[in-house]
Amino acid sequence: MKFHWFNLMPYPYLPDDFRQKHRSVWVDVDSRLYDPVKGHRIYHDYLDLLEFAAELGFDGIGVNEHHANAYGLMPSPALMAATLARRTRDVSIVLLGMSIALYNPPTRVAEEMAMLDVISGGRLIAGFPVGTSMDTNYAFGANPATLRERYQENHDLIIRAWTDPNVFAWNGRFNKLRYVNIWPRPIQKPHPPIWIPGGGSIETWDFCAERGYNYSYLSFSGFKRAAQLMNGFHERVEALGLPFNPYQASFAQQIIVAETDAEAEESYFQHAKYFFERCLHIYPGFADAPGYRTEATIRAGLKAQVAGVSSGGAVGKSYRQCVDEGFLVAGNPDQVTEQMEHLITSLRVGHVFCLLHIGDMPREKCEKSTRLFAEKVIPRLRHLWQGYEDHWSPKPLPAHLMAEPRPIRQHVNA
Amino acid sequence: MEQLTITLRPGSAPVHFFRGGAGEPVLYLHHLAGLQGWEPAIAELATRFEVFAPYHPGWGPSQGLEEVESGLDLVLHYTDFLDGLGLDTVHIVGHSIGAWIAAELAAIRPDRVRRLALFTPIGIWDDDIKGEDPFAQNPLRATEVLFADPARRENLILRDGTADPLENYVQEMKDLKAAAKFLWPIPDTGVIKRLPRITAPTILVGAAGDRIVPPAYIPIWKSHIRGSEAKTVLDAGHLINLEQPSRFATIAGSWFLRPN
Repeated sequence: MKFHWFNLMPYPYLPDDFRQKHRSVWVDVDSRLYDPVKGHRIYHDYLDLLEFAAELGFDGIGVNEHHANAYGLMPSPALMAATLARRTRDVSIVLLGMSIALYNPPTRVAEEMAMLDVISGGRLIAGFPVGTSMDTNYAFGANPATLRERYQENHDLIIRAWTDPNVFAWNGRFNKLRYVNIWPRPIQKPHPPIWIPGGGSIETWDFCAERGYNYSYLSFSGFKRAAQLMNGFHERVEALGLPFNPYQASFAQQIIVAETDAEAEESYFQHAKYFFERCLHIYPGFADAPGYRTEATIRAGLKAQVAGVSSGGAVGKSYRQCVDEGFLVAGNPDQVTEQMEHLITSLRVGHVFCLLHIGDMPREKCEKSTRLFAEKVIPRLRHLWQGYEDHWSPKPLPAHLMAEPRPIRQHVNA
Repeated sequence: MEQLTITLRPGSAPVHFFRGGAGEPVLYLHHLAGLQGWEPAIAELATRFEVFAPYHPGWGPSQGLEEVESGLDLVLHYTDFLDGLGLDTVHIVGHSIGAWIAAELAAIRPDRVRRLALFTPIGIWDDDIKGEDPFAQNPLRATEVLFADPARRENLILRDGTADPLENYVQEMKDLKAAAKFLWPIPDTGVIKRLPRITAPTILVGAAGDRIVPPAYIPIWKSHIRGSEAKTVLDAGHLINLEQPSRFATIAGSWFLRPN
């Protein structure tokens, strides 16, 4: 069983009356709420936390891409991954990922991910999200009527750019490139493992199953509401006659672990409330552009990734309700271990993105819960899925080939 | 009235359309949210004209959105449609995105168009006027913004609760997706530079309550089409055909009957 530490990087200073005074945390969120001086400290706290998690033995540390979003301060996830690649040694760099339909030409993604794979010594996980409607259609102006076709073409182009050693011409519908020839090329062959973050689109199941990609279901609704989507994926794998492997599936879960259940509620729950009430406050008109979801997905009754949350979700719920309904995995280490085991075995996932930083949680509290999780929860769950081989984790260089970055010194005067 | 299909080219998706009435032929090009069947405004026009009302490719039962990428493709589609029906020249009533298509057709094939009536035409953007985003609405009430009185959607689109909510939702998303293909993210189609090519006598009709194409756009269209006239209809929004069907049919019909 593998555990990845993930931080959405929320802006932690949204005002108390944010829900009342602003219609959306995303797309048209007021930029005057952002203070770049505070932002400086926040980035370093968040990057420190990711590096701290790596030191504690998490398998991966994760970053992702959002635009015009006050709960996701990573419009360029590759920048975040680049700094982590230099400051960590063994951990997987889970870039989950770059919204490949938004890059023009998408060879940019192939190049940047190859750079990251080379810098990190082959530790990159390459995430290829379609991206939310807020990010892709509204903030980046991508046409929802053609977004998924563009995604497919860009995917095909990136894979070929990584795997075809020859210079080739790409005469696509969305990209016309006379000379495709990326430098550098990734260390991992044929390319870094590909993970597909999905919200609720049934086409994603087939895409992952048929191509052998990892299906990463990202949700803020918690594991108890995720069964329909996760089972949908496992069923597609089975229907295609492919073997079940838990490592082909990942799930993201918000987790609070404290010394006691009372401490989790009294000291930590406020930060989850901040997240649910301010960070998921999204104007419904930005949640689902016409054409963003396919007719099949709409007919399958799958809610838009975030729309379902913003129209209800965990807002106003008590700590106990949030835990009972699975929005949060929370409590003391024993309770969290038990809930995590339930999550892992019921969703049949071999990777969990542990969202241990939530909302406006300060760094010290997050360090404490991250340490508890690493020392008192992970060791008791490691044995799960023994006997299955994880084909979806990176294959880094052997230790003797790994470069050692020069340590940071105060002064270099000889 | 009859509901028909026609296949314009081997292998292309059939075009679904309504035909009814008798008189000079009128091509009716619908708005961005599609057709509500044989609408009252069309029926009224059909008392004086032979009306052809197709679903654009990708709207309603018409498939083939992937076959059209641009305004030029839509012009070719509709010249094929006229050829397929044996119609040499027609009056055109174009509404919303249909008005844009009609203007492109009249600019590129002036030989096929007799007289032109453009209602709440979309396709020009002005930073000072703007207009609400028809694609950034609460998906469960996606077409409310198209009405001057949003409550009328209940009656005119949802048919007072008799329309199946899921089917209606799927259809609205499908129609708006097709519109988005041409109008996303800003409805600037570039038609403004082709408008001076229009030779058909043209009337432009704005709706006082139109939040998508505020009536301030109408003078811009008028100033680019030689000799055109303009009107504004009160108590109507972008879907003027549904909110004021009789005014809609009367304005178009009178315009087509006016001697050149």
